[in-house]
Amino acid sequence: MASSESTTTSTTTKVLRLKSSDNEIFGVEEKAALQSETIKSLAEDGYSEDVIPLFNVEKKTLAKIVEWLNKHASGSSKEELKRWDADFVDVDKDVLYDLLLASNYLNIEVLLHQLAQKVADMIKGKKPEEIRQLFGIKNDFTPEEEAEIRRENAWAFE
Amino acid sequence: MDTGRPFPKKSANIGDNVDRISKLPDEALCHILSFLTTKQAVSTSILSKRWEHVWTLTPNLDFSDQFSYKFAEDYSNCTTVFSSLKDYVDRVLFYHGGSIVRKFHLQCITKDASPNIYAWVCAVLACNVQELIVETSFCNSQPLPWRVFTCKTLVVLRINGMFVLDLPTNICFPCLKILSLAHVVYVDDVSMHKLFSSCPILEDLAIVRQGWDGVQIMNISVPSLKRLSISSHYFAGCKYKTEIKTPFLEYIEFKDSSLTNSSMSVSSSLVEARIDGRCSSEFLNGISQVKVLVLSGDAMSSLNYVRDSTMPTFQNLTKLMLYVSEFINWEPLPDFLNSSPKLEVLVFPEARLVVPKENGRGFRGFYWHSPEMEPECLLSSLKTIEINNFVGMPGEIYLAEYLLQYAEVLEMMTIRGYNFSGRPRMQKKLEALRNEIIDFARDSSD
Repeated sequence: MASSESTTTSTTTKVLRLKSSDNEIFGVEEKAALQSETIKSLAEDGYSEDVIPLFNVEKKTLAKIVEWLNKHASGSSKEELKRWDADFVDVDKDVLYDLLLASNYLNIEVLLHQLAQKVADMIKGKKPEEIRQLFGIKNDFTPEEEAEIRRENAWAFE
Repeated sequence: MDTGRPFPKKSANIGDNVDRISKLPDEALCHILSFLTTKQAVSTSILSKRWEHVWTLTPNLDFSDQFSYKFAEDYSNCTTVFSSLKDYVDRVLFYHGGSIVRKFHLQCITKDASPNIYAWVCAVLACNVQELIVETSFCNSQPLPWRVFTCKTLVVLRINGMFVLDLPTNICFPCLKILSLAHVVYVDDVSMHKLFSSCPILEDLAIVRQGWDGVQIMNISVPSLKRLSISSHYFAGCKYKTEIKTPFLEYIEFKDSSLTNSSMSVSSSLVEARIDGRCSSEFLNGISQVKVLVLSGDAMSSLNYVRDSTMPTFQNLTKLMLYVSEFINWEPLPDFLNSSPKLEVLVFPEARLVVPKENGRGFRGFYWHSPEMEPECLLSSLKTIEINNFVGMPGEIYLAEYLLQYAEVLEMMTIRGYNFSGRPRMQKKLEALRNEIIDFARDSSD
């Protein structure tokens, strides 16, 4: 679990300090943190000595992201990572959205890919009405509009 | 910070189902849709106005005119559905104009679709496509746009069907890594050779040839190639030839149904070779550095003509898998053992032996001629042996016992019996044999 300790140990590894939108600071080893393209470019811009502000990510989401970054920099075996990742994305829809938004903002491609795959798996094989129900999507088409789209793309609705 | 996990695991649904997915940015939704088939991605257009056009941004497009049986029952209905697909593809490609299509997979099986392939492929080439897959089972030969062969963004190209590869003078595939050509027709030997030599970083090449396709001498000379798969079913009576020069090849799969003249220059980087159909000694020379070798029964019997005077030494071979089935397939086995001094693993994955009739007549056993001298691998390296579908013929028993007796460093021999369910007498016989072999193993290890 990530902690907000500052760098007191005399290790050679550099630790970056990430600040969530609600002002929680997370210390993350540079190697782990740089998996995020956004953090990488902020660090290159000279933020690496101070705190790197991440205005779009709340602490509860950032904690989770940091957990992922650390795991993926830990040198775990492929099989172990696979199991761990499956468990990691097995969360409520709301958490999934937060993670999707955060990984999109932080530009962590591997994580974004895993999360998008997870949501796609939830959609796969479902009929439009089932998808609406699952995600609480409100149908704002008039019956005429809906019929029009169905006609236009008849092959997709066969 | 809170203690414990910051998030609850999936729990009982939290009361109100607020639509948050629709608030995700286009790129995230698009990413999600890219894991779905194009058909399902399109069906999300009906969810709500927010979703109506999101699918048009997905970078992966796959279209197929293989409609369900329900639709195909009624031909006029099928034509209507096809025309809706045609309009749709036209529209998607129109929407995409300029934006990137990463993958375009087109499968056309009806004659309605065939005239559109050329135009669709043209359109998608303008979208910087990286992966292009075109398949048709329609049997009239048809052209492909020249621009396919000068597409600088293509990383993967797979063509399956009667397309005539009338190639432009300046073929240019600077990024192409994977090329697969099945059932296509070439103009001549030179054009095929030119196509392959215009791919400077090609790593994976798969070729399926059937009947006369315009090429007599297939010359594959690609320095960057790592994986090669060739499958040929030729017309009888033509003198075909295959020449392979791929110094950095790691994997080869070779399936040749007729006696063609195949040669391969020695490839020292080879890790695995799988050979089905015919095989020649010249070809074996080319793959003699291989570490894992897999041979089909046909390949083994074609090697009957290669006696050990011409069989190369497989200096690096550690694993040999033989899909032997009929008796004739086994003959080259002693030669292989003699020529593989470092063999560690010997597997007969599905020795589908001819099952003897219960009354014993119609028996066709296989011959096992043990080598005159014990092969080196038996004395020093062979550790694992696996025989499947064991039916207990004298030849098999003799082979198993020979290996048990002479494989001095053997650690594990696995014999799986043929499934004689419903034939209790055979089953019983097999069980008796099992005990016999176990006793033999015990005696020979003393």
